[in-house]
Amino acid sequence: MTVFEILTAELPAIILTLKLSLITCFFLFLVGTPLALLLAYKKNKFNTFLESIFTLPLVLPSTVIGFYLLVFFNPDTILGKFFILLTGEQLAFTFQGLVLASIIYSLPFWIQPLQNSIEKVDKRLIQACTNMGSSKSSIFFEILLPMCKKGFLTSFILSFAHTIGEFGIVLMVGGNIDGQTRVLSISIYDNVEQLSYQNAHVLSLFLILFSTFVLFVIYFINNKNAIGLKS
Amino acid sequence: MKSISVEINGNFSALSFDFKHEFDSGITTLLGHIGSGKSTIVDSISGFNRQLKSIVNINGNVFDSHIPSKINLRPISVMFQDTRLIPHMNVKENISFALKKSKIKKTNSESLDVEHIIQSLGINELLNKFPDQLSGGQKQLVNLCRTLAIKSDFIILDEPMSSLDIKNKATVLSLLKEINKKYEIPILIISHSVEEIAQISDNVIILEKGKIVTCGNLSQIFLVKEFTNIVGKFESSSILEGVIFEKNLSLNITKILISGFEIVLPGDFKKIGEKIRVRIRARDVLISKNINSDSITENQLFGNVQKIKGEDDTAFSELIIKIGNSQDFQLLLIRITKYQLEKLKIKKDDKIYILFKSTSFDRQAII
Repeated sequence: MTVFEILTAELPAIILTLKLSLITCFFLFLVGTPLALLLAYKKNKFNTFLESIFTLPLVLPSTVIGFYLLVFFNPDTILGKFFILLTGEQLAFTFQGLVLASIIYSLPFWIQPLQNSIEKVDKRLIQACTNMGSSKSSIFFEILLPMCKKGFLTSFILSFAHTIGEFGIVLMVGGNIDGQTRVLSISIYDNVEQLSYQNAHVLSLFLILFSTFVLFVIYFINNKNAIGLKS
Repeated sequence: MKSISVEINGNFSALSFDFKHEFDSGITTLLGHIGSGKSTIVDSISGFNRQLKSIVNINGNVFDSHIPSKINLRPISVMFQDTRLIPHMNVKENISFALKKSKIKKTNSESLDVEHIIQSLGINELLNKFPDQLSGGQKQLVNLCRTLAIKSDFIILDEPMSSLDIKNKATVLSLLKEINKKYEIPILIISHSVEEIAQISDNVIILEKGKIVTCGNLSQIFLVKEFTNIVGKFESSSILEGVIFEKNLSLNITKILISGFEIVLPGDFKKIGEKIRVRIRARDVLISKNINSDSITENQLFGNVQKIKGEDDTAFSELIIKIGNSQDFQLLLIRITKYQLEKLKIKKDDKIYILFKSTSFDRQAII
């Protein structure tokens, strides 16, 4: 088989991977951004505890999170029941379940860079803008969003890349269902298991090139922005 | 009628606050040592300090720290100390952001003429520049302009002139006076500089460890020891008010009458008939018991000694002299050596002549 034929055959997995990463990042923007704001601006014991909880995916083996997610996704649990009520499907071994799992394990990759970036914004400036009459939403959209552009970009790169690269949790929560949960990393594992090294080679190389390309483009924009601001 | 009253109580960062003041429509200076709680007072009035109990009444609008309200709606514009400009907006956008956002504030005062402020501060050439292209002084001017663009009934400026040179300071001082007069918006300034205080304030509040130790109008406050304690004995001085009665343009002098005594000011100031204030440094003055007809100095005042205060650990004494008749008198603070005091045998109620050269009035001492 030629390289082109292998990539065409694996196209559903490639598309599924990109879809999963983009949808995950979209939800992380909605969920992770308020959390980053909360952790950056409200320092208390409870929030420090929250901060440690949200960082757990960085230190725990993916199997631990995967195992508990499977337990919580069980149709007998509240979450499981609620989801069945909502969609008629169960969470485990579905794309939706995979999205939810991805949001959870990529959360620290979204929160931490953004939180650092928000904390760097001078609080006196926020005060001055509030005094001018800016509402909270105006401060977010007109001051924080443009000032934390780099933070958002870094959060996006890391979460996107990490979702593409995750394997353990995806395997446990999603399994290997073609077109539903069979993402690139699973596909490579599957090919190796079946001793089709040529396919594994092509996909792995594709992933390396793709990831390098994405990271380079985003870091390039990021550095250009940083230089642009100074001149 | 503008009426602003502020009441702040409670404990914050190891200080126990007890601040109660009614502001008149003039310019008030808040003076105090570093760490006396000045900036906390500013934070409290503007609503950012939630630990202290505060009640701020602005023309009948009451803002109570115990009743949650939107801070951004308070009709107060504040220039916080060292506040940065919005980095991704140029100077023009920074100013128009303040103009646009403050529209939601409900105020009784007329909005200020921002074009005129931009012209007066001389920042019209900076409008297209970004904050990181400006010097420290330029940033402060833009920040001041941005603060004045905010629609408000009360203006608070926390050290607004700390990075400015003498020329710009003079511009800012006269602009603030002009705004205060024209729009009748009360202004509260936090400052350490005696020149700034003398030139601009109508009233002075002295703050120590969160409490008002004394407050009063400018000429009163210059004589109290709390004031001297903060500004230093070297700067101790008094403010006298006079009326311009003659000008000699070929000699470039302005003659004024202070409680009936003629004083010569170097330079051309104001118009004939207008009131003027001069600051006389306590250490610049000579005294004599006899009239000095062949005077080596242009200026002579005559008065009687009201109070003599010897300083414990220095060679100096401070004298307070009452000048003018009993209805229309002014007080002058002078500082001489204890040695001279003994040599001239000066006692309380003695009549003495006070002499000083016109060169002791630098431009900043004439208000």
